Amino acid sequence: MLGEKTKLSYTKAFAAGVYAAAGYAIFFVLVPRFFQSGYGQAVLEPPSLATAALLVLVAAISALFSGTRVRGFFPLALGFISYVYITLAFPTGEYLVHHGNVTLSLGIGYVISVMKVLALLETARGFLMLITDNDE
Amino acid sequence: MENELPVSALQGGIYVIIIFLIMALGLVASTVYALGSSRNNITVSGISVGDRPLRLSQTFHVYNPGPLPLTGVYLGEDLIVGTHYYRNSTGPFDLPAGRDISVPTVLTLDFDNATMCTLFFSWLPANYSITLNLTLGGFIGMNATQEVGRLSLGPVFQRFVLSSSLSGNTMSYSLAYNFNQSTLLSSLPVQLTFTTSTYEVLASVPVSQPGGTLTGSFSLKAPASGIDVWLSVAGSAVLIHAGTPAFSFEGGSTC
Repeated sequence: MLGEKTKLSYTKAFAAGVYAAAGYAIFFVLVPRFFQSGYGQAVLEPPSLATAALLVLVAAISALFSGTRVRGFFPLALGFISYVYITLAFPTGEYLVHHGNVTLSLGIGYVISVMKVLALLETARGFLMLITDNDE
Repeated sequence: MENELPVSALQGGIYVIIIFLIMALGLVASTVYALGSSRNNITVSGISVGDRPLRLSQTFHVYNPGPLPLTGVYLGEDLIVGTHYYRNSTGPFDLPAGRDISVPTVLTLDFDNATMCTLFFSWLPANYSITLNLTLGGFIGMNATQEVGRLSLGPVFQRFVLSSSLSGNTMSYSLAYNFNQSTLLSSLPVQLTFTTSTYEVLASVPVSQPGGTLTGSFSLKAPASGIDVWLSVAGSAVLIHAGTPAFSFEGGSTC
C-alpha cells in the first residue's frame, strides 16, 4: 500500500490548477456579470486575482501530492481552516450589504450550517485518507 | 481497495451536498436578482383630511418574478418628521412566483402644535424609508430597507404676513401669503380663524390657493379685551396670535 503512494503527480497538479481557474472564472466572474443589475450585484463579491491565485495554488499543490501517502493532510487542513473561517466570518448567520440607498440583509443561517457540515466532512475525509494510506 | 470505501462514500456525500447547495443558492440568487429589477414601486396617493390627524396614503406594488415563492412578506414604512416617528406596516402575506399584489397603506400623522407651527413657517426635515421583509423559498430570510429620502413637508407658507387694525368695534385684517408649491401639505385646505379667548368664533377665513392677499373686517363684541388667531390645516390648529386686537404677525416668528 505504501509503495503505491510515493509519487508526485505533476500532470494532475496542472489539471487541478486549470480546473480551479475555470471554476473561479465561472462562479466568481461570469455569474456576477450575469447578475450585474439589481440586488445581485451587491450580494456577490467582485472578482479578486489574489483569491483566484490562492485557489489555483491550493488545488495544484493538493493534486501534486495526490499520489503520496500524505495526500490526506490537504483535505484535512483545508476542511479545518474552512470551518474556522466560516465560523469567524459569519458569526451571526446574516449577510449585510449596501447597494445605493438600499440596505439588504440576507439570513443565510441554513447555508452557513451546510457549509460547516461540508467543511467537517472534508476534514473527516482527509483524516480517513491519512489513516487508510498509512495503514500497514 | 476496501479501505478506500469510506473515503469514497464521504467524497460522494460531499459532492451531493455541494450540488444541492449550488442549486439552492442559484435559485435564491435568481429570485433576489429578479426582485431587484422588477416593477416593485410605491404610489403615493396623497394626503387625506381626517378629523384631526393627517393621513398619508400610499400603495405598495410587489411583484415576484420567481423562481422561488416569497413567504411571510411584510412591508413597513417609517417616517421621521422632526422628533416625531411614525410607522406603519402591512400584515404578512405570501406571494407565489409570477404573482403580484397591491397593498394600500395609510400612515397617520398626528402633529402637535409646535410641529405644526414649524410645518407652516419653517423647513421641517422629514425622512421616509420602506422596509421589505420576506423569506425566499422558506429558507433564506431577506430584509431590504430603502431610504427613500427627504420629503418636502414644509414650510407650507413661503410668505405669510397678517396684520390687523382696530377702529371702534370693527377689526380689519390684511393677509398676504404664498403657498410653497413643493410642499405636500399645500394641497390641503388652510383656514384662518379669529376667536375670542372663550373660543367664540368671530370670523373664519379660508386661505385658498394659489395665494395672494386677503382683506376683511368683522365686528368685535365689546368689551373685547383679547383676540386669538388660529391657523389650521386638516383639523390641526396653531395659535399664531393671542392678545390685542391690533397686531402684526409675520410667518417665521414664534407662534
